[in-house]
Amino acid sequence: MQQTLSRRQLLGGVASGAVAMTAGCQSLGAETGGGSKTVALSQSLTSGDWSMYGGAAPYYSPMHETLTASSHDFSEIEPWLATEWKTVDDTTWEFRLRDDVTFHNGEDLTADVVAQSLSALLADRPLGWAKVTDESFTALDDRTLQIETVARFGALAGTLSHPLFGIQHPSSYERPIGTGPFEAEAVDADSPLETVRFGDYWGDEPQLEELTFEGISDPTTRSTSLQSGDIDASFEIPRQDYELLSANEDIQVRTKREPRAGSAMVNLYNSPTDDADLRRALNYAVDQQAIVESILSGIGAPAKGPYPPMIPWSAHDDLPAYGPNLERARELVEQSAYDGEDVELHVSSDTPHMQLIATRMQERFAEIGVSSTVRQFGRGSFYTTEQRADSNLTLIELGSINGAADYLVRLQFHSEGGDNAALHESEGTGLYNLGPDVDDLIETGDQALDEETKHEAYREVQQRVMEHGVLVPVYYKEYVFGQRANTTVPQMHAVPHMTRWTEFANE
Amino acid sequence: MHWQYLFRRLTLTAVTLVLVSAVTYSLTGIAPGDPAELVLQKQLGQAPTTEQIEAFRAKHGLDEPIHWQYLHWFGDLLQGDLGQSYYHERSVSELLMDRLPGTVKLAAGGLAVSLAVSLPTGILSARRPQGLADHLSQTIALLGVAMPNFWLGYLLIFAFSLKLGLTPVYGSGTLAHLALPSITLGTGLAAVQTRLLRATLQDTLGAEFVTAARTRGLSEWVVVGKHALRNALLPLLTVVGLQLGFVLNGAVVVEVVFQRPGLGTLLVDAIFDRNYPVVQGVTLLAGVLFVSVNTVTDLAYGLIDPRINVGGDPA
Repeated sequence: MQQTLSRRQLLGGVASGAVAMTAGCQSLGAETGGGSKTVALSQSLTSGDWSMYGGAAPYYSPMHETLTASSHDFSEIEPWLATEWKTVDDTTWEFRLRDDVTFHNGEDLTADVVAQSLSALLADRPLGWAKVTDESFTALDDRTLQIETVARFGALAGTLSHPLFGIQHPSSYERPIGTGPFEAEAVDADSPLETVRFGDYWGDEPQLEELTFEGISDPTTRSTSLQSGDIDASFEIPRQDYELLSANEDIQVRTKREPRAGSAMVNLYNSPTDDADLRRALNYAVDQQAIVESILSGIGAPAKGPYPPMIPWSAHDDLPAYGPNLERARELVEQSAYDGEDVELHVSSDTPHMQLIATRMQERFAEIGVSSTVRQFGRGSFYTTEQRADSNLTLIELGSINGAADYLVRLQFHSEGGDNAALHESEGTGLYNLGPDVDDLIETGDQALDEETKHEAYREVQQRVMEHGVLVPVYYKEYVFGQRANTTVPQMHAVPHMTRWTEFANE
Repeated sequence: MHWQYLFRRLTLTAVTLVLVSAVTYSLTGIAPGDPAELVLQKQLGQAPTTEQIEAFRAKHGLDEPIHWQYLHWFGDLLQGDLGQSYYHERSVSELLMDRLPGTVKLAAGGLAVSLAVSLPTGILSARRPQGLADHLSQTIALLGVAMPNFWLGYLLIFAFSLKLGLTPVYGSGTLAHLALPSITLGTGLAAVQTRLLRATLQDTLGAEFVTAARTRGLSEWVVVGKHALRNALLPLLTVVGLQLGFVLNGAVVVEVVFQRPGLGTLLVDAIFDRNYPVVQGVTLLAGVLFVSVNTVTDLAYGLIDPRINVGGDPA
């Protein structure tokens, strides 16, 4: 078979493609307006396995609600779908539910439905840190839900404010069926999540007709999309764009402190950081204020401990600041058994600011005579136990997205916490666990049903952790939220995942 | 074209793909990082327990030696099953079919832009070497090669979306969404094509048959367009075929900058997340596309120049 391709055909094809493209440019104009707004997130809510929520992540979105809520400044746990709760005995709790709540499918919220929903969730996802299982939930009557924890656990009410405990109606998981102010008719994987106002919402009526959530992973694209008006609001605007956007009269940009901190976690069981004097020396060397000013563009606050002061049991106010004090750091290096061995700093390739912080730390360590190497890892290997065991300092950002935050202490510093368990079990060591005394304190805090005992125990843990230099605190995080100037401010929350959208609308 | 030739190409393709899949599987297997820890961390909201990790590994066959895992995967592949993503409640085939159209559109758009630039500039440069058009096109070609895709993408967004308001910054669905990504991807392709076309066309324009055509009194455009260009197009076609095969590389950056769903971002995310079945699926599909495009390119030689008998006996 033979065919000839004439010049006219070839150029004609190319030209028609170009014309079609130009025509497309002219026809654009998907401007959002009226009762419809689009919010950008760094990750799509419809990517990943969210089958227990009808296919959309329960974070940020206004579709699923929890029994309890964290107040916007993270200071206390408030009623939400549950109006009140009490402990019956050490492991039994009763939650009284609202009587005016309707699901998106028209069914009423009852204790039986909530019990079924949470049981199904726990059967699918064993969220062990919440100390509940799929057998923990029983409806005592239409309005009273009984929850049996597997151990004494004072933080249950706060823990239930975690968005993962959002209530999905158990009759169907084909689409999100929650009780929130917006509902979704359908969810397409890896696509924007489009929600519409739920007319029978029990709370304040949402201002908007439609609210769409877009996943835009590239920070610069999020920022430029906000400037161009392609989106109406965005989380995780790059810090370095704050000044630029502030100067733009079409945009409002604001920051909010999060219950989240950036730290260099120090491996207690790997040479040379198994030496307490060297760990303290590293702490004295770091200048947190300079890091916040230069690397974080002044957005955030210098940290003194692992947890920011907004967490009610944070010991921030009681913790002494180490430095910066290079002279004292040098003395401690002299005093230690340090013999010139390289200190390894591990950072994730996902966090460019941490790479800069690691480099700054490396410079400071050099000034006190400690040589170090910065190693960068993709997220596939950065968080693995194997990798952490080889590190001396691992730079991480960690925070809570539930109102209790208690699980952070156990996760990081208890021998059986997530960070330490594998090595503790296999080698009898761990990473950041100081031993039985601290384990006991964490368990005391974990099990305390009164706030005072809990706070005292957790604060003591933080004191000891800082005394032994188990981490080098760096910053307390603030997130940057940008929105078009013609929109009203949504109810911003210390935990951005918990932002409430009923007030978000046109100015 | 001979059927024997096609059969040989297909057999070679199959062997190549088996080798590619085996190498990819081995590399993902020895890469540091445990998918069980990563997936469960995301699903559970904190580090999983040892029991949970072991259960995940058993469920997905990750507790078996790597060669057994590969053989199982290959056995399933022969039955048309590419497996299940670790992170999605979806099959790999479904994910690939979802993402493929986005990348195909981007590749087609990039190719259209590159040819729309390279053909006229290459011809102009070849006809008037060292002239203004030649210098200009060479400079643009150099810039196109030297400038990273992501940077060009941001510059285009700044100019066309922010300043002129002509195109959307991100997304997909309309031709307007495709314009800037296509230009970003196509510019790099055009740079190579322009330089190649200029060189080959210059050689051809000096050939005897072109001189003969001119002496017959044919117009310059007929001489260049009908006689010289057809000969100069063959090397260009080869390069375009190879470029299309490699377009996945450029697509990764372009898809991220313009937030377009496609195979590039699917592959990169899968590699970072240690989502082995998806890595295998995309690699296999990319291999199939690469070999297919180049086979079609070979066959197209015969269409452009009937003297070429693809796969036939030497004359």
